Amino acid sequence: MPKRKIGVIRAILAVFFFFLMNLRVLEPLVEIEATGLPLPVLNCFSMGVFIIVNRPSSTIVCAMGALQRSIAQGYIPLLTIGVIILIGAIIGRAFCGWVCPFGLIQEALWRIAGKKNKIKFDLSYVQDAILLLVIFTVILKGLVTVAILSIQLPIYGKIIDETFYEGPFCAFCPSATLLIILPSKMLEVALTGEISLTPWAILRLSILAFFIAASLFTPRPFCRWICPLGVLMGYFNKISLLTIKRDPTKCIKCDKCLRNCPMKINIIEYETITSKKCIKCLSCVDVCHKKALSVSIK
Amino acid sequence: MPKDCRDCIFFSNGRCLKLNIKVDNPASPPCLEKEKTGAITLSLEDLEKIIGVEEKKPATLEEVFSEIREYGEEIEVSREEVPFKEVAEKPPRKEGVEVPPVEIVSVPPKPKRELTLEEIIRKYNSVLEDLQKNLNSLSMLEEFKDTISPEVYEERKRELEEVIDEQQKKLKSLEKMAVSKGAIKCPQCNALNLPSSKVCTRCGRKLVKRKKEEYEPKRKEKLKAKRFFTFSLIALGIILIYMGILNGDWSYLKSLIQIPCASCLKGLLP
Repeated sequence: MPKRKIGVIRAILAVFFFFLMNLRVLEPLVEIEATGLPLPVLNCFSMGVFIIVNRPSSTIVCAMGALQRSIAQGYIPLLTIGVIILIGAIIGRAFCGWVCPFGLIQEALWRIAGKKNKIKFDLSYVQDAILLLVIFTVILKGLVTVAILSIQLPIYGKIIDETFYEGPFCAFCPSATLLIILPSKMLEVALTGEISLTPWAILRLSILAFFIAASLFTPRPFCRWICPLGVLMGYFNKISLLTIKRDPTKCIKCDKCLRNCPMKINIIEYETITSKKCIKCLSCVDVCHKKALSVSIK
Repeated sequence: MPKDCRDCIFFSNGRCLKLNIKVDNPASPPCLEKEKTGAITLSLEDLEKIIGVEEKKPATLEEVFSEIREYGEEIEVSREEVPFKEVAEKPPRKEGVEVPPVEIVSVPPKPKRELTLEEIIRKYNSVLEDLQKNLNSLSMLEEFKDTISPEVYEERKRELEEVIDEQQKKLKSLEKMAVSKGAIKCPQCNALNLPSSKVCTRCGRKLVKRKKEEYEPKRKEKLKAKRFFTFSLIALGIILIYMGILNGDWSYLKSLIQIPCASCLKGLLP
């Protein structure tokens, strides 16, 4: 493969997958059935609401959303868990690097801003904590729904209400804000010349603005610090079939891979890159001029 | 002024280091011809006279030993004069001075990761170097056993033996790890080298390349176990997907797409 081409291929593929995942945008022209396939990408299944077809245009289901909603409504999401395990065991966290639209937007901003890394703290523990918190909340809600637990979940006005417990992460998800709330508000301004913002929308838009601004100073801040779906898939990196290997006899420790890595993994520490942060974007393989890094299948 | 290059301090390996030229005939120094131009040539004797080095006779073995004995006695005396306990004791705390409360900050443990072969080899070689230094110290201690007091000797020996034991254990475990990953042990100096090394990085001895079969089986076993686990996970995933489809998950997920999500609606509706 010619040098420095993987980034371009990734961008093209991400756009292609984004179109494929939201194919129902074409519904006014052609009738398309939603597949309902749960995939580990932050492509909200509410996508397209109010904008073009006045109903979701997504053909797939975000695995995180599906997990939360199913468990909270008292189902055991066998299909979603099965897909997560299957994809994780084969390619690990590669969906984050090749398909996830929000990740790609953050990375593109980082690369345009000159690949700066000014925010260096590691918040991977926060990511684990968020995942645990989300799972705990939905399980609690699920137990209440199926009447195993008879407790009243706390409600704080309009923000934390009954629907919050069905998708505690979805309630803050900046990807959904970027792909649903922001376009609909922009459309509202364009059509009516006015904008009506709920406190919830302001909070969500500020979260989105924070991550967009942070992307200019550090690569993929949301993926590295917050995304619970990413960390869930990252646990599979240790055993996934698709791995990246470093040949220590060829490696000259020039740090090129580290500088180019969007997840800021210290690659020279590993012989087989099993870090849960690795999104298998192959940027490191692309820049290594000594060919010390290679993709391998176990 | 030396009349022969071989007496000159600037003469080395058939070259004059001062003029940076090759000297074909050391008996006729080329610098003598340059003398007229102002170049200064110094012999070893001249240099010694200038810096005032006295001529010394080589010390006899007895003199060396007597010096060592004196040095040993000096140490004994100084240890008795300044006991360790007194030095180590803290100064008494002043009354009325409040000590600020100490805040204990818990540091989150670093995630463990497997050491790379390079790291193991580096660690092994540094421990090996320390061990050899300690062994040398022990043999020195044995050699000069009579010159130092028996208490100091016993204490020092015990300390050294403890450290050596610990280092030997560490070396064994590191060697086990490294050898299983394909490292080559130098037969001359016991240092470990990368599988691709042709000569020892420590002593320069030529190394014999290890056959892959020697160290690969264990790795292969590990890989096999990992692969088995991965494939069993894949199988589990497929079973769960099948069960999910039978359970009606597919239609449930499809129904999710038909309705707009409540948490997004909250942000959209005033």
